[in-house]
Amino acid sequence: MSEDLLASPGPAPTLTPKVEMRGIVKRFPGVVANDRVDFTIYAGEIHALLGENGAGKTTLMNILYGIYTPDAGVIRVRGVPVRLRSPRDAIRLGIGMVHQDFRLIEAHTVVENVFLNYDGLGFIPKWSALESRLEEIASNYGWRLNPRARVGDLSPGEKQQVELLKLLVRGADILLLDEPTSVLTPIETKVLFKTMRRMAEEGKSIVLITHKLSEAMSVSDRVTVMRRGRIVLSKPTREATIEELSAAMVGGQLIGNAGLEERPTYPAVDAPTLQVSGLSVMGDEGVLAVRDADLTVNRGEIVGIAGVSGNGQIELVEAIAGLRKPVRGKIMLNGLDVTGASPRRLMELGLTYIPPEGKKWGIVPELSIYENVALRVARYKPYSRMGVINWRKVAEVAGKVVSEFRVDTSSIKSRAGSLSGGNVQRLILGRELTTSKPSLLVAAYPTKGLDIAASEQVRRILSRLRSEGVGVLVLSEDLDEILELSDRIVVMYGGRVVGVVRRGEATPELLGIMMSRGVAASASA
Amino acid sequence: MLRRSLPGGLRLSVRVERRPEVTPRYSIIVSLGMLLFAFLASGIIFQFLGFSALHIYRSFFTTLLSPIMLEEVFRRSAPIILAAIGLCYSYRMGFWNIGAEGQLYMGMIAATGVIVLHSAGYGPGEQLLLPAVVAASMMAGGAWGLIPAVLKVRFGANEIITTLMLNYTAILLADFLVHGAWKDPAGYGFAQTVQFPAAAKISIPGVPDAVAYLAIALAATVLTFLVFKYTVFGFESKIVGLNIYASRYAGLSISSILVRGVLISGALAGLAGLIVVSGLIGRLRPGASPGYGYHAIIASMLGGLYPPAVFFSSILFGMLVTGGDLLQAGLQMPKSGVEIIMAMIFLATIVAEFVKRHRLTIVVGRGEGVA
Repeated sequence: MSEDLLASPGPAPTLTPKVEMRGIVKRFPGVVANDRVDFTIYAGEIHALLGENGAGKTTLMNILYGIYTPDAGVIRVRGVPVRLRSPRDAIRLGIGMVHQDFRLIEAHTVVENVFLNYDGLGFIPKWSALESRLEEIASNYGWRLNPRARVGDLSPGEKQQVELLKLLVRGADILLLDEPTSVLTPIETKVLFKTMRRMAEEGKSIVLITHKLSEAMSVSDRVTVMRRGRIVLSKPTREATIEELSAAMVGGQLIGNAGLEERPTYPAVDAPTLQVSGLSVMGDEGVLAVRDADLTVNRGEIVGIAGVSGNGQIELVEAIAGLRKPVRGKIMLNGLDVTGASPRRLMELGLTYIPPEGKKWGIVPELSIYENVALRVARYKPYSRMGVINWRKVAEVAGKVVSEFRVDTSSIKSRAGSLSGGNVQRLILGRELTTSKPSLLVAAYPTKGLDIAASEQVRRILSRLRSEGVGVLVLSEDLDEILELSDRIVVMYGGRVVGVVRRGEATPELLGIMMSRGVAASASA
Repeated sequence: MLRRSLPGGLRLSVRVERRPEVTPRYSIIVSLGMLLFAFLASGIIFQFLGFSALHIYRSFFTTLLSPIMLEEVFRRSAPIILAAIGLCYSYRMGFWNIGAEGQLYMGMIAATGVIVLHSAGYGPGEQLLLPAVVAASMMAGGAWGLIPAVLKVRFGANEIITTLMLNYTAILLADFLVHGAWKDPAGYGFAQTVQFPAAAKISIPGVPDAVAYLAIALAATVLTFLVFKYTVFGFESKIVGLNIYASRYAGLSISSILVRGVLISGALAGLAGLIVVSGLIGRLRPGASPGYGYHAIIASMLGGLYPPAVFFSSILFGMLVTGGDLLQAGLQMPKSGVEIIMAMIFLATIVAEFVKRHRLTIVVGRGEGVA
C-alpha cells in the first residue's frame, strides 16, 4: 500500500498514556473473549490492533467504548480510573468508535446525521451554523463532503467520513476504528489513511482494528497482536516484520507437535474419497470466490485448509457440501460425480458436513436436544416409518449422543439453545457420527469459539475418525490446529490453492508466507 | 437499553432482555392475562361510549351460554376452527398466509358450482353430491393457496401481499357469479344462488347440525395435533419455520414442504367455506362470510399455533361473531362493538408475544458518575 505513509511517522508518542487498560477479562458463555488483556494508547499514535476473526479485538474495543462491562480489570483514561457503562460515558471522555457496519440514517442529510442526539442543539437548531462547522472540519482533513447531501447517496468512503464527523463534533480524541477498510476501495483506503495520519499529527489517538497485516504495517506507529483473547505481541511497527506478525496472529510460535510425529500412516494413501478438480465458485458479492481449485482427500487422512479468512475457504467447503452451486469444475465423491448434488444426496452418499457457526446452521436453538438429533435423519429408517417419527428411537439415540460425546446437559429435553458453544459442537459432531457412517467428513471451523478443553476433544474425535479410515477435510483459522491435525495442508490465497504442504515439511513460517502473500512455496507437493 | 437522568441525581434505566427459555406454563399465563386485558380495555372504551361494560359483558355471556345460542355459537365456530387449524400449517413454516378468507370463498364458490351444475341436470347424482362438494371445496381452497406458495418459491413474492390480494379477487369473483350467471332464476331477483339440496349438507343423523360441524372441526384439530407431533412432515415444517439455515443444512426440500403446508391450509379453509354455504346459509350470496378467514388468523395466533388451544380460541371468536348480532338487537349497540373487542384481542396477542420472549427490568437508583 502507500509507502509514503511509512516515511512520515507521527510525532514521537509522549510518555503519558492516554488510555491504559489493565488486566481486562471478559467472558461469554463458553468462551473467554478477553483474558487478562493489557492495552495502552498514547497521544498522537496510530495503534494497530491485529488479530484473526474472533481473537477478541472487537470485544476489547467494545469494552473501551462502554458497550460491554469487563468482568475484571481497570481502565484509566488520562490517568484517572473510570467506569464506562455506556457509549455515552465513553463519548464524554473523548472516546469514539466507528463500527464496521455504519450506523447512519440513509434518508437524512449529513448534517442531520452528525448532530442527531447532540447535546446543546437547542429546540430549533441553527442548521446553517452547524453546516459551516462541518465544512470547516471536513476541509481540515481535505474531504469534499456536502453537509446537505443525503447520506443514502454517499459512497462508503464518504459515509465513513460522516461517522468520523459524528465523533469529531463531540470532541473525541481517541478514535476506535473497527475494520474501517473492509468496505472501502483502495483509493478510499488511501484517503482514510491520510486522514488518520493528519489526526495523529493533531495529537489524537487512533486504534485501527484489523486483520489485514499489510494495513497494520503501512499506517501504524505501534502494533499489538491478539490471539485467542490474549495479547501475544506489542511493539513499534518499524521494529516488526510481516513474518513475525503473521506467525503471532495464527499462533505458529506456540507449536508443539508432541505425540503426533509417530502417528501411523494409514495404508490406503491412494484411495481418494474426495476429488475436486478445476472448481470455481461464486461468492456472495458476485465475484468468483474460488478459482480453479484442485483438491484430493484420501481415506484415512486429514487434509487441512489454511488461509487468512476471506480467501475462498468457506465457499470451497460449502460447494463441496452442496450448499453452493459451482460455476465450473467437478466434484467426485467415492468415484461418483456429485457436482451440484443436493445436501441430502451427498449425505446419503457418505458425506457428513459440520457447519460453521453451529448455533446458526447446525441446530435449531428453539427445539429440544433430542429433536435436534433428529434434524437430519427424521425421514430415514429407523427414525421414522411411513412418515411417522419413532420418537422413542430418537430419544434413545439422543441419550447415546449426549453420554458418548459428553454433551453437558441435565436432560435431552432441554432446549438446544441453552447449551454452550462447546456443547453445541459436541452435539452436532455426536449426532452426525452416531446417525451416519461417513466416508468423508468436512468440518468448517469445528473449534471456533470453543475453550481449550473443548477444542482438544473435537480434535481427538477428528483424529479418531482418521484412524478409522474416514477422509477428513478441516477448515480452521488456527494454524496450530491445522499443523497439529493435518497430514497435508492446502493453502488458499485469493480463491486459489497456492500450495499443498505435507506434514513434516510444514512450518508456521512457511505457511505464514504462503497465506499472506500467496506465493507457492518450493515445498509444494 | 435506555438510560435517563432524573432530577436529584437519580438515574432511571430500563433494560429489555430476551428470555432464554419460555415455558409453556408461562406462555399460557401471559396469553390468558392479555386476553383479560383486552376485555378490560374494550370495556373501558364501551364505558366511554356511554354503555355499561358490566351490563354488556354479563348479558353477552349469559345469553351466549344459553342452550339455543350455544348451538349458534358452535355452528359459527366450526368454519373458524377449520380455517384457523389450517393456518397453523402455514404459520409454523413462517409462511404469513393471511388469505384464509379468499381460500374460504373459493371453497364456497366451488361447492356452489357443483350445486348449480346439479340443479341444471348435469354433474353428480344425489349419492355423490356430498363427496363432490367436499372434494370441490377443498381442492379449490388448496389451489387458491397454491398460487401464493408457488409465487413465493419460484419468484420470492411476498406472501402477505399476494394472499391478501387474492382475498379480494375471490370475494369479487363470488359477487360476480352471484349477480350474474349463477343467480337463482326463481329467487325474485335477489343476488343469491339456488339453495343447497339436503343431499349436499353435512349432517349426522340424530344430532343437531352444530354438533356435526363441531365434530368435523374437532377431527381436523386432533389430526393436525398428531401430524405436528408425530410425522416427519410436521417435524420438518417446524424446522423450516424456525431456522432456514439449519433446514438447508439438513437437506430438507424447503419448497416442497412449503407448498404442501400451504396446500393443506387452503384445503381446510375451503372446507370451512363448504360449511358456511351448505350449512350456515344454505346458499352462496354476497358477503357470505363475515370475515371468518380473518378471525381465524387471530384465533390461530391467540392459540399459539397449538391445535388444542387454537380450537378453544376459535370458539371464543365464534362467540364474538354471534354476540355481535346480539349487541345490535338486544343492547342497541352497533355491531362493530364486537370488532373493538376483536381488535383488542389481536393487539393483546401481539403484545403477549413480546412479553413472553422478553424480560423488562426498570431500575431507579443513585447513579455513580463517570470519572
